[in-house]
Amino acid sequence: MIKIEKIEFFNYRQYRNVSISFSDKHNYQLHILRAKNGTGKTTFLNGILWCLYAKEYYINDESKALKVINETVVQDANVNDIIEVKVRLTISDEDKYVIFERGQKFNIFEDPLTSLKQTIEIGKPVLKVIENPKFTYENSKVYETDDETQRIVKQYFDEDIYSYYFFDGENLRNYFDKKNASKVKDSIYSLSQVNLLSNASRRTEVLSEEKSRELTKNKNLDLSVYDQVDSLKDEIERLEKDNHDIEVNLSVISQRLDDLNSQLAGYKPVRDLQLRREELDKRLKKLEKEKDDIFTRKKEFIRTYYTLFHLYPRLKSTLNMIDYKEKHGELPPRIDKRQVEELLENHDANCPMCDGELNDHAIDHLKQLLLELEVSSQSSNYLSSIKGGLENAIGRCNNYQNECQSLLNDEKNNSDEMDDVKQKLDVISKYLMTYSDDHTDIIDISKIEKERNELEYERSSKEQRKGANEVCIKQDREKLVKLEKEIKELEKRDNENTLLRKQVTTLRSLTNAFMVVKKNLMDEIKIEIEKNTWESFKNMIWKKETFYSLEINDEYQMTVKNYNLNDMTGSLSATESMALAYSFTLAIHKTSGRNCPLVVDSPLGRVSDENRVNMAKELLKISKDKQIIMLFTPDEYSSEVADIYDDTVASIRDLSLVSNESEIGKVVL
Amino acid sequence: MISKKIKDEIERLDKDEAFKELMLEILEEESQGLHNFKAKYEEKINFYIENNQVGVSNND
Repeated sequence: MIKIEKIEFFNYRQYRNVSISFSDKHNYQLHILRAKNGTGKTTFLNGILWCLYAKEYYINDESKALKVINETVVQDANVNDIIEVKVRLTISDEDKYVIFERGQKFNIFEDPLTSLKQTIEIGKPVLKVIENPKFTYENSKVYETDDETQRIVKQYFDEDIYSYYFFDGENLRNYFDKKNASKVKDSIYSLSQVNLLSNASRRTEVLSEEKSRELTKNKNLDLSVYDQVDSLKDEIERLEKDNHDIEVNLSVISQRLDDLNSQLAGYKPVRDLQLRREELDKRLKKLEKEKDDIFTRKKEFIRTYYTLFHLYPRLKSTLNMIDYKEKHGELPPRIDKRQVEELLENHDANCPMCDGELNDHAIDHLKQLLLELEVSSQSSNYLSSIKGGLENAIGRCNNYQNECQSLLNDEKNNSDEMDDVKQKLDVISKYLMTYSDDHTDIIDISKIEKERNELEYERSSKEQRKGANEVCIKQDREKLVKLEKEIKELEKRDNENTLLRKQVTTLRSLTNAFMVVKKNLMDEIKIEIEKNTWESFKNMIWKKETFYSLEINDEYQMTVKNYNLNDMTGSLSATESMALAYSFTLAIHKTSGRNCPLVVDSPLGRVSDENRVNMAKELLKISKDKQIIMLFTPDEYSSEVADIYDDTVASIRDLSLVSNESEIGKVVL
Repeated sequence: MISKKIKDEIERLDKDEAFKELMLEILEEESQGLHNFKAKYEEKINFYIENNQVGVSNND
């Protein structure tokens, strides 16, 4: 049970320095405060509201109300004094005390027209919450930020349903208001953690949609990519095997050619020709290498000049700009700054340029130069530094024709010489193929040459094939590397997709489950409130044959039906309305899961006769398990009420004002 | 702290224990005021997927 232990007022309205304790141990946790109208009954209620919410909901018109500071305190104070208004509410909750303490400071000044003292607020009213464990001073916690203090206030006395904790028997209409019903619903859902379920289902749904979108974006793994890899590997293997066979063949051919060449070189009549051919072969190989070099140079030449010609207009305009700036003295002189500094430091030596003496005039000149160098901007220095590079690039462009011609000449010379060598080799070969002499039966030169020629042709075509195979192998290997990288990427994504699918499935299940739990919980709460309200209402009302049922709709509005199943909520008497408001209030308290105290102003004001006794007894019964603080006027605390309460309740106290009616004088037990 | 009523309702669901535990963990995080719910939710859901036989629905 959560109980109000103590309320302390300091300089708050009529409550200048009042402390009321409710800590009495008793069977019934019912406390009664009696006060005449105008002696601070409602102010007591407002004091608690001000402490918790910084608002006084039970003031008719807050804009026309007096300030919260006690009037006598203001008049007794000195000008420039700072007075603090404070209300401290101490509650107990199981093993701890929770203290809500709100304070507001005022500065005193004198009104120059009336000479009366006035006040001005210093800042806003500030709430502090202290949690003290019972039986020890250790582990106390102090909360001072708005977020923290509001969270704790909401836990015990949610402001949205303040009127269900601090009940006003004179304003019953509030309890049947549509707007209030919706606030009750929201507050009950918040207290019963329905909001947690709403948040969780909404968030799992959002996340599931996000994951589904991600899944749609990710392509699935295309299995044909594995086939492509296999066929590429087969192709590489085949080409490598082919090249291996070619190499074996080439080796055999080379051996045979060496053998034939030896035979030709060994036969005296054609020996010189054979040696000549070997020289020409060497020369041809050299020329072929030169041809490759020329081709490389040609590629480099094209690349360089393509870039230079593309940039030429900008290079030229930049150089012109630098020249212009130089001409107009907008650039620093081209002098080594350090050299000038050294000269100035050591001006006994002669000038290193002209070997002249460094007289005062020369020193002034050098100092002026140094100054110019220092003040010249960074961009000017930069322009000076790139000038050389620009001149080189433009100079190279101008040399294009010469470079091009030289390259073409080299290419032509190489080509001519290769043609010449090939022609000479051809002549030798033709001669040898038709060669005939008397020793043909011993050595047939023509036959050897023919075989040699065929083998050369075969070697050349095999080398070409080998070269082509190597190019294919290289290309296939590159493709393979690319495909394998792609596969890795796809496999990684495929794993991600599997996880995404599982996440989506789990998230959807969670959303549905949270929604099911939420709906069941909401239904259960509504049924519970309906049932508790109805039971309590039946106990408070003397009519037993009129009311048949009570229903609460989804918006938490109540309907009471008679035995003809007609809605009679609008026809309830004041007593019945009060009973219904009480019943609903108590049902809310019960369902919220926190057994909070109930403070009631004019608890039986609208109730008469038999119902008055019923209700007084019912509230007494409830106070066995719940703290109730009631604020009566002496009239309202009639003899039949006194008969029930005088000897049973935990405490009865009377509030009265001092003689000048400015403050509560005493609280009499 | 999650209320007993919610715990009872979750217990009544026709779901396996690990799934119910996951629901409670998520609600516990919610009750403490989540700042980065995506990361927290993903961490818990992935842990659940890793340790349980989670199938894949066909209508993705």
